[in-house]
Amino acid sequence: MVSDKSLIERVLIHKDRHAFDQLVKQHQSTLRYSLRQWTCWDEALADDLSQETFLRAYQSLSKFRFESSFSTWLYRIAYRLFLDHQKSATQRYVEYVGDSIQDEDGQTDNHEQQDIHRDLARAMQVLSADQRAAIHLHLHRQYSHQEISDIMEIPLGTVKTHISRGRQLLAEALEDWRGD
Amino acid sequence: MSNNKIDQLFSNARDSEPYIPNRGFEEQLSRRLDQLDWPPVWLRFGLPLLGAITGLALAIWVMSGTGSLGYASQLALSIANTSFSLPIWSAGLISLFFTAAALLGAKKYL
Repeated sequence: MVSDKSLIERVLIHKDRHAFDQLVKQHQSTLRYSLRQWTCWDEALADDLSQETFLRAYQSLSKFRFESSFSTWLYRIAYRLFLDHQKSATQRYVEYVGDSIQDEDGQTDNHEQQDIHRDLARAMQVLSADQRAAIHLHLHRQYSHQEISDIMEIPLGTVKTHISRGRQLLAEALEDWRGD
Repeated sequence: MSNNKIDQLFSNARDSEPYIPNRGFEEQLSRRLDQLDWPPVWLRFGLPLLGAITGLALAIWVMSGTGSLGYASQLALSIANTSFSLPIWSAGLISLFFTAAALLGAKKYL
């Protein structure tokens, strides 16, 4: 797999669109998955936001300074778009309609595994958008507090508060859920 | 539910994170990127330049035909000579400043 750095350089120096297509190929699945978690598994919205993220990234790639990883930078754009969307629209939760998802070998996953992701997204509905993003980036993507602070452009203390409060709310929600 | 169990839940989700297939995602994005790239740079800058050159050539041709080319060159020379004086420069700059301010102000409402 070609490194992000060399692909970005190819886009910037040689205006190589195929190199950007390759970047999209390498990052589309993780970004779309994260946005599905942030949007409580609204697949259409998550895909719209993902497309917009890549478009913005392409337009402002010359501003990328290699100070962070490309994925961190991509998440920063995605999070900004996600927040803008949250502000402009009331969130709608779309029932999961069973669009099959595949593992890395392209095999259709079993329903039990799909349920973990859908149910997790559903449980995260009790959290605010900020808490959801912070919890997902920390517990799922395993970003450090500092990296999350950079992505969400909020102080380190606020990140810690979002994660701690988010954990607490999620624990309560899952307790109730188990009790149903 | 304890923190450990939440960590475990996310760990399971991470380990079984599915690969989300394309299903036209990349193709649609590629089409939108093509639109961003249009018009290409050579056309973006070339077209106005070609327009300006054609316009200038047309103007010279028309003016030479009507015999006003000599008059126009005299007028341009006269303006150039006048603009060397300080009051003209100052008035020009002040009017440019107000025009820019008016344009910026108007842009907010457009």
